[in-house]
Amino acid sequence: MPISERAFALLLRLFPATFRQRFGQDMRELFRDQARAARQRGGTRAVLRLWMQMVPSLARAAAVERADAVRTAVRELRSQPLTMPFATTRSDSVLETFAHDLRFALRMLRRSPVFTAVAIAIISLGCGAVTTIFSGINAVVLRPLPGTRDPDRLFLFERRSRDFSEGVSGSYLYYRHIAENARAAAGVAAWSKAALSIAVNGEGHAVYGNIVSGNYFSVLGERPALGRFFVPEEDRTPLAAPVVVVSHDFWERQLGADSAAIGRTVTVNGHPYTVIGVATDGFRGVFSPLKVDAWVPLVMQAQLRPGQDLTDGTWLWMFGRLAPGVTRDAARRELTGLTEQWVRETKEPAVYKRYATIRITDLTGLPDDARRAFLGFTTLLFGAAGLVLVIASVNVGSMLSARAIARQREMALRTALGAGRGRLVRQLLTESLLLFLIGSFGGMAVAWFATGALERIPIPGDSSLSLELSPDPRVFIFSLFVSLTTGLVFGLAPALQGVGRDITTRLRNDAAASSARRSLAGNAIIVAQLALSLVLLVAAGLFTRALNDGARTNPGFEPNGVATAYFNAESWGYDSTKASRFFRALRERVAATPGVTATSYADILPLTMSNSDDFVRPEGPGRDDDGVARIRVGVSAIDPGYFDVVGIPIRLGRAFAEQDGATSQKVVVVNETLATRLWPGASAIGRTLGFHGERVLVVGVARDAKYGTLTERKQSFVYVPLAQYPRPDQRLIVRTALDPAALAPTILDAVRALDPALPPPLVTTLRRETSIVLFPQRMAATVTGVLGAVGLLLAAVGLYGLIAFSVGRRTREIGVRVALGAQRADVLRMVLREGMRLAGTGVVVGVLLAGAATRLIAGFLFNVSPLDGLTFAGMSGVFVVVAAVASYVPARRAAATDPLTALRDG
Amino acid sequence: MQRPPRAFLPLKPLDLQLLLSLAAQERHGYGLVQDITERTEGLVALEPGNLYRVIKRLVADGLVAETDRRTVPELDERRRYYRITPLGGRVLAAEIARLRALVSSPSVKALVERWAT
Repeated sequence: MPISERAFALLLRLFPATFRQRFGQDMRELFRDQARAARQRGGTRAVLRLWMQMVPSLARAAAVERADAVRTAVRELRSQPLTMPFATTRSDSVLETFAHDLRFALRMLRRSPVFTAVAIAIISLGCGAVTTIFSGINAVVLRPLPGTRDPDRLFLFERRSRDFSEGVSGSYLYYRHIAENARAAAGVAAWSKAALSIAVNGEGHAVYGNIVSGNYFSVLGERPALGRFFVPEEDRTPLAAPVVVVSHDFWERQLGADSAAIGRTVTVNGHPYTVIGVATDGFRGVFSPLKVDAWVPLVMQAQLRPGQDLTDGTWLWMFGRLAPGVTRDAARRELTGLTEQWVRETKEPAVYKRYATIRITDLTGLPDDARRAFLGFTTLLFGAAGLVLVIASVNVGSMLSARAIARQREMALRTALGAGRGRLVRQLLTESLLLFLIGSFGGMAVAWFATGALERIPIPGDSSLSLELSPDPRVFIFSLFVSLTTGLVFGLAPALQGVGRDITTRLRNDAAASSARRSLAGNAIIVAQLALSLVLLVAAGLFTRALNDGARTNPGFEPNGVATAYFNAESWGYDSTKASRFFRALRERVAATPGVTATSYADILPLTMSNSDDFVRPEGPGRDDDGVARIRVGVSAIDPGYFDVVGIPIRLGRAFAEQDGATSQKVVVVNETLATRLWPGASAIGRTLGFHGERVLVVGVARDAKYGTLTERKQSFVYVPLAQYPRPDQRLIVRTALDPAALAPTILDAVRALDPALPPPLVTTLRRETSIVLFPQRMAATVTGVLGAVGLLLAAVGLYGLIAFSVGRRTREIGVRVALGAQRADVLRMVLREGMRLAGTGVVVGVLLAGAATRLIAGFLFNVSPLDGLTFAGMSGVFVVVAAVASYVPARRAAATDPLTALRDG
Repeated sequence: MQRPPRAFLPLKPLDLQLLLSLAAQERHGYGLVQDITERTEGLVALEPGNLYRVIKRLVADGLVAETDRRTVPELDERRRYYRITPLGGRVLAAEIARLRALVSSPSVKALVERWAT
């Protein structure tokens, strides 16, 4: 190269690099041409003149170009540039770097709104599923009871048998003994439920109330929203404290949210009471599934719960607050010691003496057993929601991966310009975390709606039963934690992949290099997604099958065609004479209604989660201390006509009749299981049983039925006449040939006609009441069904994306095939085959996983096998159809490939 | 989005020369320099620096484009050729029309006659 050319090349360095790269070569050639022409025209002198003219102009142009380059760079920085800080200097603080990353991440998300929206929607679904179930667990089990102070120091305690298998609640005297002597507790409180009817301005309201010891609120640490709670004097003298504390809700609805309500007189169970206080909003007492609306002092028991007594009856539940510095174990030891002393030194009925061990648990709003059952159940649902979250995160992870590949050149360029690998990974990770963070807010919104929907699923039975599931700060933190963790896990791989190891390969050409490995990983991810969603679908299918199976199970009685209404005469201030007169009159009125074929009363109804256990003895008088072997039986007190109403046939002997009155010989009807067990091969009629301290005569044998659960084994059962074992709370049951729900107005009218002051009872049907035994299945089928559908949708989208991606990559290959004579159908079949191969693998893996997983839910499935072939086959079928559709769409696009376009552009 | 041709007017002298030169045929850098030097009788001098700055700007504005043609077979060199784009053609036509209107307006004619000598 001549000297002048080399000098020119050096001069070109004045120009910015981009300008040089673009035009440098051409400029050198132009100079060479000009120099050659000049030499031909006028020799060396002309060349020199050329130089003289050229250098200043070149320098000027270079300066202008440099200035332009700077201006462009500044403009790009201001208007959402593609560039990010290439490198950080050491002086940058961590916070500044983070702020920078965050700003850049926000810009990146804004730049591709569709990608961002889809990713956030997917994360919201997954995160929302988990958050919803966690809300439920939190609300029922984890959340400290609303209105309690220092809840860690609160404890629940019960008297249990030595092996903890059975327990007994406390009598009033036992409670006083503990409360007065326990040094380990700063306070011990007792409570029981009380059916109350509160009349404000002459209008009665049936409310669920609690009858509580005077220190109930102070032990919990609850403060009144208005007025005051009970004072010590109101805990001493029986019947001396006609005062009531009402819930915030009751105050708002029935007392007009008026602060003047304090001091006002209302009628509680027929007696005047003074409203002294209002509990804080959200305070629900210590048994959270039931919404308590009023609290009355224990000393008013004789008036409000005359059926109980303040001596030996065990009807109180107790809880306490640990004294400062005392451990729970020390408290347990002291309470056990006090109980043993109590058993030794008092004339407590012998039946309770075996319960001398104390069990202490958290005071969480549910008894320990119920909490365990609930936790077990919700853990399963939580697992299902977790699967959805994994599927969703994997989806977003592969979206991020795809984008990381698209941005590989950009990343490589930055690396070349000096950005550190760690810096780039951090940037990409910030982007994914930001996505997941926004997704967690979406998840909170999903959880908000979903818990609202779940709360609205009616719980059969008691109308006070309601769940308060709405998310609280704890749920919010959980949601954040989950989303950031998943964001870290599922964002790290794409980030590392995006930054990669080898710059030069990526700067050259990227797509082909690692595509084989990547498509294998992509396939594995899709198969995993498909398999997990199949597991969910199978679970949903099994629950649905169980629901059907349960509905078809013969309960041994006929729940259809029966209306039922619950009454508690105690809550009206009725004595037993007045109550029995009322019940007889009501029955007569209802029996006269057209269509009604039979009427009766019972204390409990089968399959309504309201069993009561008792014991009978084949020999001896049936006293608790007679040392004779006892048999655990279910007991129900019923009126004549009961068996006709519920449709249980009498196999032998007779049912109860009007002649079985309070003063006549005590009689019982046993079920077949008990009859066979006690007198195999012989007639039970005319035999006697020891029951509650006396011999009772067996007059009939009734056919077996299901009493507690649909899955129970044959259970011994005893029916006793209500006339001989009276109870203040009874259920009216009416069999009708017409629609039982339509009887409600008739029953309400009859009640009003008999006593207009009574609060209207809840009238429902036996069919609806018994549906509570299927409630867990219904809940589980609904939740897993929704989760399964979401999971399948996400997996289908993932499959679609993968096939579409693969089709896009293979456009050229497909073009060649078509050019070589492949038919549309061939291409279609080829792509479909790829999708179905993945789906098939997903089915196989999913079926194996489901086979292992469904064992966990076997306890909820009644007679349906956890490996039910129909469900597995059916769900796999649904699954294959969806997978086929998801691969058919891109397959059709592939089949429409025009070979010319494909070969030119591909 | 393309700007309308009028938005580019009036053209700078160098831009006008360059577009005129490319309007006839595709040319590479040296071809342009030669053509323009000839047409302007040496009045418009083009150095490598300013030529390519102008080209860069005209390419960015969409008036000029690179062609696929690169090689001059007899010289066995790789050079970029440039062509005028349709937009460039319209801009050029608009500028010529503007100049023609300027030149042929009676008042301008009178001025030229008055000052020509």
